[in-house]
Amino acid sequence: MLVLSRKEGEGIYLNDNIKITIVEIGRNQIKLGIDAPRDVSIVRDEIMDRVKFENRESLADTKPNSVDLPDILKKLKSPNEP
Amino acid sequence: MTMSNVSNTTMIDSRVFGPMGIENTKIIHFPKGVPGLDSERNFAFVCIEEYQPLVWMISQSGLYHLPVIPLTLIDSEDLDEESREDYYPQLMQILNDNPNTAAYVILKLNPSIKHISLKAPIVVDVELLRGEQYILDYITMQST
Repeated sequence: MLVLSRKEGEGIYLNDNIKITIVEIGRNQIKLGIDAPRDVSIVRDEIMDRVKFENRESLADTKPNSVDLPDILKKLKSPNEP
Repeated sequence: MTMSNVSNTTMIDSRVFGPMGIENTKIIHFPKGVPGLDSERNFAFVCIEEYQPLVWMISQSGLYHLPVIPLTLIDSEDLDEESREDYYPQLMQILNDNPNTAAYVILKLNPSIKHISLKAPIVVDVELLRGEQYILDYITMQST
């Protein structure tokens, strides 16, 4: 990992079109300002890690049987049943 | 796993369902990949009768199988509170801003799942055959 030291108000560029600025340094937290094109995804790391974990948790390794299917899906399969 | 492309269909050797001939129009390219499934960029959207209305997102390598359902089939009462109030409006905005798109939600195959989260929906451009998993995280935007 590349580690850089920056002061409040300073920043870095990623390529030439994404600028990250240190907006504020607090005691336990810093605020980052990010200028990036709209199509660049900006996601907090804990959320991305969670989505990766949940995607892998959702993978099916074998053919599921009907018992494995969530109730929500069973309801969709039988919309007229109570 | 092997793969071959003959005319307008692609053979996918699914680790779960065995060899399948998939129409090329059912194969969606994910330029950014799918988080957690790092090297995969192409996924077939496959309906298998016994699991309908579930759709299987099967990686072209045949290794990964994600069960998804179209957003249009989900009742608001099946969504968790956060999704109903926060993520659904964001997702609708994405769909409105991007014509020819459809949204799918990854479903966990677990009978105890009572509610569906829209935090990370799959959005597919059905004309361009391109897809992306959006992560609907709230990040404060300020113009400077």
